[in-house]
Amino acid sequence: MKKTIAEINEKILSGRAVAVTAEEIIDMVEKDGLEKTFEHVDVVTTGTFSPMCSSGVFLNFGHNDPPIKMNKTLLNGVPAYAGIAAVDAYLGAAELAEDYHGTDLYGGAHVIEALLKGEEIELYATGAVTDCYPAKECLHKITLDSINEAIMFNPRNAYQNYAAAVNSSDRTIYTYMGILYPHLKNLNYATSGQLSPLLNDPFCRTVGVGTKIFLGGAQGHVAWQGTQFKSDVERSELGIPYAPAATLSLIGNLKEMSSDFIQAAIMERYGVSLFVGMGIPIPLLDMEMLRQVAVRDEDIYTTIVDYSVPELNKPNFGRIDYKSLKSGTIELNGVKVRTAPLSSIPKARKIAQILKDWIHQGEFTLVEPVRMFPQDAKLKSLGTSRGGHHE
Amino acid sequence: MSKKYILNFHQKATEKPITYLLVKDYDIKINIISAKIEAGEEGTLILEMNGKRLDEAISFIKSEGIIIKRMSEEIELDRDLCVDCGACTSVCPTGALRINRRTGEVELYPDQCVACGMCVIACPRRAISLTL
Repeated sequence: MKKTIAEINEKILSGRAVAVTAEEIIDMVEKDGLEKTFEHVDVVTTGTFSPMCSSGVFLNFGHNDPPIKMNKTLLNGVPAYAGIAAVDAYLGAAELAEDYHGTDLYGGAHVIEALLKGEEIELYATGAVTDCYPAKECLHKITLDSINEAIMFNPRNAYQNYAAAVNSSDRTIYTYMGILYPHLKNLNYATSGQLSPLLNDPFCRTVGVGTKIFLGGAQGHVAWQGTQFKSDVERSELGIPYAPAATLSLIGNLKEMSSDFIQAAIMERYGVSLFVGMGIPIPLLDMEMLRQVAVRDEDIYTTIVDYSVPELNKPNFGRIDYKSLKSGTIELNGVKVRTAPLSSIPKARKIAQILKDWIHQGEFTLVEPVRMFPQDAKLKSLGTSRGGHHE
Repeated sequence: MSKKYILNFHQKATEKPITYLLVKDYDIKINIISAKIEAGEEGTLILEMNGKRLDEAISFIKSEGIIIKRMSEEIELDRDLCVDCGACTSVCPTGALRINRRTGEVELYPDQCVACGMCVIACPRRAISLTL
C-alpha cells in the first residue's frame, strides 16, 4: 500500500484529505492498528516552539533620498549586517544592542518581535560615500509595513533531537540551555518529543529542499539542510538519533508571520535567542512512514550531557527517554532531578492543530522536495586553537 | 493575617525546639509549610506565623542566630508573556512553578513560593515578577 504526494494533494484540494496530529496518530494506531489507520489518514502534522539562536531576517528598507550605500546599520541600537547591497541588511536574532542601558538584555530577536507587533523601529545607518551613493548617514522610523521585504531566513532550526543539559560542578552555570544548578540538581531539555518534526521522520524521507511548512504562523519552506546537519549518527531501532542530528534552514515571509509564534527569548547571563514556532506536515507515503510518525515519547531517547565541562566533547550520563523527561522529575545517580523542557508543548500542539486545519480547509497543499538531504553527513570541528591574536 | 517567613538555621540552632518555644513562650499560631532540618546540620524552615507577639517572636528567632526573612506573597506570572517553555520549573526549589502534565501549561502555586527569585531570571520572556 502506497500513496503519492500528488494523490494526497488531490484529496486536500477536494476537501477529502484526513490530517491528524503526531499525538493523535499514536492513539489511532493503538486502537485501530497500522493498516486501518493508514487507509484512513493521509497526513500527520507536527510542531515545535523552542529558542533557536540561528535565526534572523533579511530586510530591504527602501532607498533614502539622496541614496545611501549602508555599511553599518543599527535597528533600535542592534547592529544588522550590511555587507550586502545598498539598503539590504541581515538582522541576526542573537545580535545584542550596542550600548544598551536598559535593565535587561536586548537584541535582534526583540527587534524582530517588535516589527511583528507593528511597532516603530529606529533605523540609523552610516554610508560609504560614492558617486552613486552620496549620503553619509541617515535616520528613519520604520515599521514592518513601511519596508520592502522582511524575509526570515534561519540557517539552523528544528534540531532533530537535542542533548539534555545538566551540571555536575559545584557552582550554578548559566547556559543557552538555561540555568543549571550544581550537583545535577536540575535538567533542561529542548524538544517537543513525539510532536517534534524531525523525530517523526528520522531519515528525512519526506523533508527536503522546498518542503512547505508552518513557520511563525505563516506558510514557509525548507530552504536547505540546516548548518551542522548530521545524518551519520547512532540511532535507535526506529532510526531516531540519540543526540543532535539533522537540522533545517528555513525561509518565510516575516510580513505574514505572527508574534504568537515568533518571540524574543532572554537566556540569563548568556544572551538573546528567538522562540521559533514551526511545524512540518508529514505525508503517509507508506506503512513505514506511519510506523515512524506513530513514535511515542517513551521510544525517543536523548543523551544527558554535562554542560559544566568546558570542552567541545562533554561527558554524558547516558540516555533518557522523553516520557521520563516530561514527567518533571527523573532519577540520576540515585538523586531526584527536576526536569524542564524550554520547548512549549501547548504552542507545539497549537502549531500541529493549525497545520491540520489548513489541510482540512484546502489552504495548504504539500510540496514534494526538489532535493533530498545527504544520508552520510558528518560533523567537522575547528579543533584546538593555534593561539591568540593573528600577527 | 498570617505572614510567611523563611528561616535559615545554622548547625547549633537545629538542636533547640524553636517552633515549640514560639508557640509556648510567644503564643504564635504556626503552620509549617516546609521543613528541611536534620539535627546537627544546617536547615531551612518555612513558616506561616500569626499572633499578637509576632515582633517579639521574630526578635527571639534572630537572637538564636537564625536568619529570618519575610517571604513574598506577591509572585506573579503574566500569562500574556508566558509561552509555557517551563524554564522556570526546573529551577524552582519547591515546585511552586510546575508544568501541568496533561496540558503542558506552566502553573503557579503562590503558597509554595519561597521567594528565591530564580524563576524571575530563568524566564526567557521575563513573565514572572516578585515583590518582596
